[in-house]
Amino acid sequence: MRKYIIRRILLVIPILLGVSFFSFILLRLIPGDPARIILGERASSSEIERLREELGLNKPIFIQYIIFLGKALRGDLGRSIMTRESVFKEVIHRFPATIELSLFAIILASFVGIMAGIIAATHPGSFIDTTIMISALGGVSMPIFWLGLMLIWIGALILGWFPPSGRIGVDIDLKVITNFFLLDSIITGNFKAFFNALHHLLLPGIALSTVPMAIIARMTRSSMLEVLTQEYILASYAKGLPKRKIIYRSALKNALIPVITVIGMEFGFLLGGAIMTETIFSWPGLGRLVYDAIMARDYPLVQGCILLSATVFVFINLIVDILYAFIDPRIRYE
Amino acid sequence: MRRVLIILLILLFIFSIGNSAVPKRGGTLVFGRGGDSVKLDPINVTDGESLRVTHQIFDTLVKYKETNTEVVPNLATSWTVSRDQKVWTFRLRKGVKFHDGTPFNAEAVKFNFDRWRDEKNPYHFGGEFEYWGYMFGGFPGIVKSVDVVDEYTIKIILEKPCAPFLSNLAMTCFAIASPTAIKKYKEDFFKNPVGTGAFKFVSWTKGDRIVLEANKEYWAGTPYLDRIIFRSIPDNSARFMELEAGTIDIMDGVNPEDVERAKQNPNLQVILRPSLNVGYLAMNMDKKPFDNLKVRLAINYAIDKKALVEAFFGKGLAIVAKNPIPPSLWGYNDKIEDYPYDPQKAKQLLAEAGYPNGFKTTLWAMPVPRPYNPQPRKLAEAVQSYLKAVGIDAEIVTYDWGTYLQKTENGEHDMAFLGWTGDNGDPDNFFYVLLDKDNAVKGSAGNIAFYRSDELHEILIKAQTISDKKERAKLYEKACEIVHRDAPWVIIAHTTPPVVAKKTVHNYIPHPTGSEPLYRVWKE
Repeated sequence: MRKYIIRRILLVIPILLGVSFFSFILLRLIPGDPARIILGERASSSEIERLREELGLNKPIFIQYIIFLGKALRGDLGRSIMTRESVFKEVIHRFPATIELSLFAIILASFVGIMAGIIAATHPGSFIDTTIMISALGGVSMPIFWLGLMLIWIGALILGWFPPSGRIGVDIDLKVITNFFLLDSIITGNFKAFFNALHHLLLPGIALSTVPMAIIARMTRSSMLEVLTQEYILASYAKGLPKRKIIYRSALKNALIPVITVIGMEFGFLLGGAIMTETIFSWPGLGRLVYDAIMARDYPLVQGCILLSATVFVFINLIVDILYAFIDPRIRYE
Repeated sequence: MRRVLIILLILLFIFSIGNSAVPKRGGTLVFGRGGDSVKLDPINVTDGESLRVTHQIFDTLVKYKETNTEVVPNLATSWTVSRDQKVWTFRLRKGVKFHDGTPFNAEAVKFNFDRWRDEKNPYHFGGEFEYWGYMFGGFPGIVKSVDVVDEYTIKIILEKPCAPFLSNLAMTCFAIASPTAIKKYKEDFFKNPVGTGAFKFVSWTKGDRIVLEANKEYWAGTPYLDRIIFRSIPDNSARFMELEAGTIDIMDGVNPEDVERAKQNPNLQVILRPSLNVGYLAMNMDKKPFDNLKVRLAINYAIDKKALVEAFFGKGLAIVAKNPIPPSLWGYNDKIEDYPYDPQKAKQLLAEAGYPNGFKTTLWAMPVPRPYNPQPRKLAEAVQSYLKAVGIDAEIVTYDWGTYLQKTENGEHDMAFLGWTGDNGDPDNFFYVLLDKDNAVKGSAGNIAFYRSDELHEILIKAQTISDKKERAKLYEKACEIVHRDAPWVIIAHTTPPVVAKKTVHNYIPHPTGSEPLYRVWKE
């Protein structure tokens, strides 16, 4: 067990090196002089020279990477071109909004996805199975910018049930402590703010949950179908246990193992910041930051966002893999 | 009974008039916009979304009139200029206080100017002070010294005369900030802005909103609104739905198709911002055959600008251009008669120039949409087909934006699309930057037609050194004529970006420069 965990952790190092190299090389892949592109229409040549100096563009590329890596390890990801603030600070500041939205979306997706998967698996080939699987296909393939706008149009304009976008109403005063609005409103005992923030979470949460929901539903279904054909399930039936008990007690536990991996991976994806969802619902998270940074050609900021989200993704995967070892004893002996 | 009824009717009448005409106090205005501000230190930003907010928090010494770019008093109540145009003396408004209680006086003005212009000043921090560099020619640039004469008089001495000096000072970026606050917050001043403006800064949630509240002691009178909230909602369609749902009061950056929808919505109004930009097609006069006037004229005749503007700039959202400056600027020459669309005439001119069968060339298309050219690729394709119709075979070329700017400044193009958005509302900011021979230098050209007219140069330099506005206006009208005659460009369009607001929002007057004070705005 310990050996497995150590090996798994060691494996993270080359992956992170690769990630850092990729995000480093990004700025150098742009055609033309990056300093010139960053500064735009009116830059003077002295400004361009100064930025080249600041970005270290005058040194050989390998040296540049070593310097970049050394700084990154100390949490120094450079300064944002737009605000001149530390990239690390900017990125960390936006993270809570994304975590809040991702958590909501992944919980919703897991709950609905697993339920739908079980129902489909226990009625294979039926009308309900087909409906669920077709909806899941739709969920994976629906473009989020379209779905998002539709949700706003129907949910906010036609029905008027939800606020169209944003994280909290303009009339709500919330003292921000952790920047997790739900948490902050509980800490300060501001329940009006809590429900308002929750209300604002619903539409973007639904939009963001569709893809993972569909994937989880499909995964649950196929894994469940496989488990249901195994001998111990047959034995349970033979023993005369009620179907409900067999499915939820005996089958589900084993069927969920691959589903957990999928949930972990999807959660990792979401934490990288859903650019589309956050942009459409003007959710001030990491995805919005990436979007703004790209629009402003703020390359150090884009770099920082990529590095952070890739690192988070790698670590979520690591955690899932380790959890996996606990849940499924077979993994350790590999 | 009848009398009572009549009195009641009269009262009702008076009441209803009062209701619609008398501004109401109070309320919050929620402004929806595409992006967040970058910094709230006006001298250290160049983006409109920052300046839109700082415009409310800070005041400048002089300001633009409500609807055009004429300069009027603001924190300075009057001024005089010496005969050699080098010494400017400003009388300052008395009894004005910054939001933190610091008194506004000549010392405060000097503090700001010294911070802006002197790179060794201990408070020269927070950014690159870009606009000081652009407008005053570097650091310290043309401003030699700034001296306190007495508590409410300040004297600014220039290295050489500068006719657009006042227009420059009216720019939102040259706003006077509280010296106390700059000393207190240092590098973080941009997150804690303190000015003398109509609204005080309350809070800023990055990527989400900025909240301002009314400055009850504002020297020009208490604002009507209690609060302004600037919300950033990046997606144009989502922002428009917010407006339809009523969660925001006003927005800009409207999709053309949503403008049509807004016009049909009884609760919404569309307001057009007067243009301060120009989109053009420059012909590189350093290259054959564009050195030939007849060729340049032929191209002007060959292109149906009206059709282009209607098709690619959004219906009613742009006007066809005939001068290099937009009509909101003084010096605009309305007597100019634009070249009509006349392909026959174009062919004839080409034949006279020695190209009866046309020629081969390249047409450079901008890779990114800009306010003055919202659909660059389609515009280039349309122009290509107009040229084809008169026998000119133009191949479309494009590069990434950085390279595009670099190569056009270097004069590597034949014909290239580009444009300009004005900074200070002075015609010099268009003519000199874009068409003077001083700026036709390879490698850093603003004049990418490489049009070198001594006649124009003489007029532009003269207009830079006199400060009488009427006289200057005449010179720029003449400049319009010269440019029209020499035709270094096909001048295409001036765009008028739409702002959509609820009908309950009153007195919102968009300014050509892109931001406007909101203290006169009120809500029903």
